[in-house]
Order: sequence, then structure tokens, then C-alpha cells
Amino acid sequence: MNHLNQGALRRMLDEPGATGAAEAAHLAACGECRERADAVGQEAGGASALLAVAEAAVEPGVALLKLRRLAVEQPRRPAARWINGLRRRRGFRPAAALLVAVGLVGGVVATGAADGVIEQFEPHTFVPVSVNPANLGSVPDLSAFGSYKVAGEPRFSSVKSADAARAASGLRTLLSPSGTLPATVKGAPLYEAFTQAQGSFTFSAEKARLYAASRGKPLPAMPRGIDGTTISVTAGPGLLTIYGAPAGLSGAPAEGPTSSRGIHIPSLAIVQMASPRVVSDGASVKVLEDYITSLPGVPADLAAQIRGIGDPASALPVPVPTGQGSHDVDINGNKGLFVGDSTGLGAGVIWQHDGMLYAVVGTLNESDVVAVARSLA
Amino acid sequence: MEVELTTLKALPAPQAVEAAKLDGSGLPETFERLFLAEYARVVRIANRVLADGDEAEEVAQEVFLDFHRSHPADAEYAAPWLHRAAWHRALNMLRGNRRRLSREAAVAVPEVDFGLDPAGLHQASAQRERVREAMRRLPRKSAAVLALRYSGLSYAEVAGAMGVSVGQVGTLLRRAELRFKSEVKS
Repeated sequence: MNHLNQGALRRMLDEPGATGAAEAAHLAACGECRERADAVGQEAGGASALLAVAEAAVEPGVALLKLRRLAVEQPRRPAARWINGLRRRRGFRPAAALLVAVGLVGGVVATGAADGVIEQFEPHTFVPVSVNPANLGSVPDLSAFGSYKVAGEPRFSSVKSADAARAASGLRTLLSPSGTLPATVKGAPLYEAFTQAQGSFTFSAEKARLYAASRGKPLPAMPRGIDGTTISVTAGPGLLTIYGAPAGLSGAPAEGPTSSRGIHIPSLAIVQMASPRVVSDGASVKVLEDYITSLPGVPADLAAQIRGIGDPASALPVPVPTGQGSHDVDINGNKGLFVGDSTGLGAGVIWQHDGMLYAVVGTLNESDVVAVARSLA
Repeated sequence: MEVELTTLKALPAPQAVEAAKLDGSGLPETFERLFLAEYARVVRIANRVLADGDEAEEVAQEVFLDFHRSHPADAEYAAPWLHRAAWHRALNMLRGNRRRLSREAAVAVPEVDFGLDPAGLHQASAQRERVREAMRRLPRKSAAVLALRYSGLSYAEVAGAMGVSVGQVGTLLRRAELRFKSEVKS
């Protein structure tokens, strides 16, 4: 019989009766294995001493009462928690808020909105704008230039069937035909429906002045008419269909792919939602765009890309991190935008059709992502 | 309540029947039995990672709450799911909260006998801090096998929680112990 390996020796130390008789007999007869077993035992003893911790004083009955209260008083919405995790990433919110504002304002500009005319914007195509995440730290928080107002927080509902998802969202649940999903996408999906979200942002010259004073640096003068201008955004309702959800959301809590920033990426997520609608009142939105893109901290190349969009009448700028590729793809006759690479580490496609915005993202390569997008029915 | 109602509609038939017999607490009887049987072990696993009983119990509460919302209480995989979720979540908490290290240094109550003199307590706190830091730097699989095995799970239970064969556990454990000692010394 061969000598016992380190793993077997380690187990025999803890569970001597669990290994076979042959292994036990070999250990008894083999001086070399006994010597190695002694070394394994010494190492284990040292680790055990280092790992010693004071045990928690557990009272399961008391803990159960607490859990009962939690279950009733603090219902959590898993996908909402997942999404909120993304929102809480340091620097994400202010940078993203400004980018979205710039993008949406850019879209409104192209509708031909004039001073005092309320105009509506809905994205129909998507234009990539390259952003370097490392440079976004300098982007000022939009709250320094006005006030957010949330008129309607989206309510999330976790459900486990397509029918329940449709009932919760009011949207027809799009799925790939059975058996056509990529082999790496396994298990049943979770569905997360959310209601319409409404919010607005109102520019304030006074807040901008205070911000400039606090920084001790001059800001470009806020053009007349911007003060008090409100951009209102409505998005949703919508539905997320998630395969390979993060730990705690579905199935066994397997360790799934995690991005470099520690965000767990589902193996596949399908997004469908009523297209966001943006309404602007007050100043010329062209003036708003020029003002926002001229603020200190907004990377010059990003501002130039926003301004340089050729057909912003119906185009929504989509931030694409440097290093990621992007190009147009056809999704059943609709012009979509693919973002990602071919490594399978993460990719997505976004498109619009008939007043609805769709996206497919996941830890898949381009061909799989696009195939899923085209197969939805 | 809207969420709870829609969730209830989507439950598999047996669980929906059980849910309809709630005792008013909001938790099915089968789930409560599972809770009472596994709670202490889940806390022990989390505590082995966090070295903080209160936070280990907090992790345990979250783990059970998540399981309750997504899985039938009588699922065959219930115990390994809970064990795995415990170390997974505890590690996430440990690695996401560096402030813990300084707090641990202040509150650590070591089992290792360093005596009660101030010098001994300081030594214990310093060692605890080094150990937690080492645990945080370990590969997840190594940290997991240490947390699971040293919380008292059998090799078969460790294998179930990690999704590996029983035969692999000894090797993983041996490797993790060596790596752990190396990290503590570094």
C-alpha cells in the first residue's frame, strides 16, 4: 500500500474510525507515515490554539422570538438589497447621478425643447460614452447644484413564477424558450417586480454659490433661467428575471462570480421596464447641458462625447468603462448596444422597442448574451 | 404585506399549506424546528470567523431569514445550505469591515491562557488581531474549511457545506492550517 497522503492523515487525526481498516493498519506498521502523522498533528494543534475564540452564549429560544419579529417587522426584498448594494458603492451615486443627468438632458436637448416649453424625452437608441472610473472621483455630486425629490420610491416584490411576476408587474414576462439558455445558466429563475419610480431634480443657483464658496474655487456662472428649472424622471414599472442570483437569493448559496469591486454578478439577468421618460421645464435644456458638462471635475473627454452625440434626439448615452468594448447589435430589428468583452466575465446588451426598455446581462460571452436577447418571447 | 402575499401565492403547494397554518408568528412550525436544531451551529460557524458572539448571532438571524424566504424548511439541503451561508456571510462581514480589527483588540476574551495581567491581556488582544487579519486574508475556501471544521462539523458535514467530496476535506484542512499559521506569522 502506498503511503498515506496528508489529507488522509489529517482526517485520521480527527476521525480515526472513519477511514478504512487498510489505512489504519498501514499507519500502525509504517514508521514514516507515523512520523508524518505526528507532524500533521502538531500543525493542527498549533492552528487550533490560534483559532480559539470565546464561544457565543446562544439561547435559541430567545433568538427565535427575535427572528419572528424580524420576519414580520422587517421584510427584506432580496433583489432590492442587491440593487441597493450597487447604489451604495462608494462614488457610484454622485457620479452616476451626474452622468445620467447629463445624458438625459442631452436627450432632451435634441427634442428641440425651447425655453419654457415642457418637452418629453424617451430613449430609442443607445450611444456608448467611454468613461474611466478612476476619473469619476472628481465629478461633483449633483446635489451641490440643486435638490433631488423622490415622488415615488419603487416597491419591489420577489416572486417565484412567471405568472406571479406578471401579476406583480403588469408586464408580460419574457423568457427564453425552454432548453435554449446557455449551459452555464442553471436553475430556476427568481423574479423581482418593481413599481414605477418618480423623481426630479431642481437646479438652485444659491446651492451652487454655496458649493463654490465652500471649495474656495470659482464655478462657471449658472446661466439665467437655470435656477429653479426642474427635470422630472419617471421609470418603470419593470421586472427582473434573475438566474444564478447572489447568495441568499436563491438555491444553494454557491460562490458565484464576483466583480473586481466585490459585486456578485448573476449568471444571467433579464431586465424589462417601461422606458424612462424625462420632462424638463424652465431653461433651455441646451443651456443645461452646456452648464453641466462645463463643471469642474467632469472629465473633458466625457463632456466632449456627450456634446458630440450626433443624433441625441432619441439617443441615450450609456457609460462604458474604459477597457470594455461596445458596438451596435441587431435585436430582432431593433438597434441595440452591446457592452462587454468575449471572456464571459461580464457582458450585456440593451435595446428598446415599443415604449419598453430591455437589457440582458450576465457572466456570459457576447454570442450567448445576444442569443438570449434575440430569443426572448 | 404585498410582498408577503405575492410570495405566498408562489410557494410550492406543501409549504403553502403549511404557511396557511401559521401560528400567528409568521413562521411555519417546520421552519421553527429547523431553527432550533441548527441555530447554535450556525452561530458557532459565524463566530469562528468573526470572533464576536453578537455579530455571529446577527449573521445567523440573516441566514435563517433568507432561507425561510426562499426555501422549504424540509428541504434535504437545509443544513448544508445554512452552514455554507453562515461562513459565506460572516466572511463577507469580516472582510467588509476593517473597523472590526481595532474593536476586537479592545474586547477580545481569549480562551488561550495568557493570564489576567495587563501585559497578558495585551498580548492576547494583539494575537487576536493578527489572527483575524490572517483569516481575512486567507483564500475563501481555506477560511471556510477552518470555520466549518473548527466549529465542530464532521468531515461529511464540512464536505456538504462546501460542495466537495469527503475525501478532499482533510487535504483542504491541512492546507488551510498551514496557510493560516503562515499568515499569522507574517
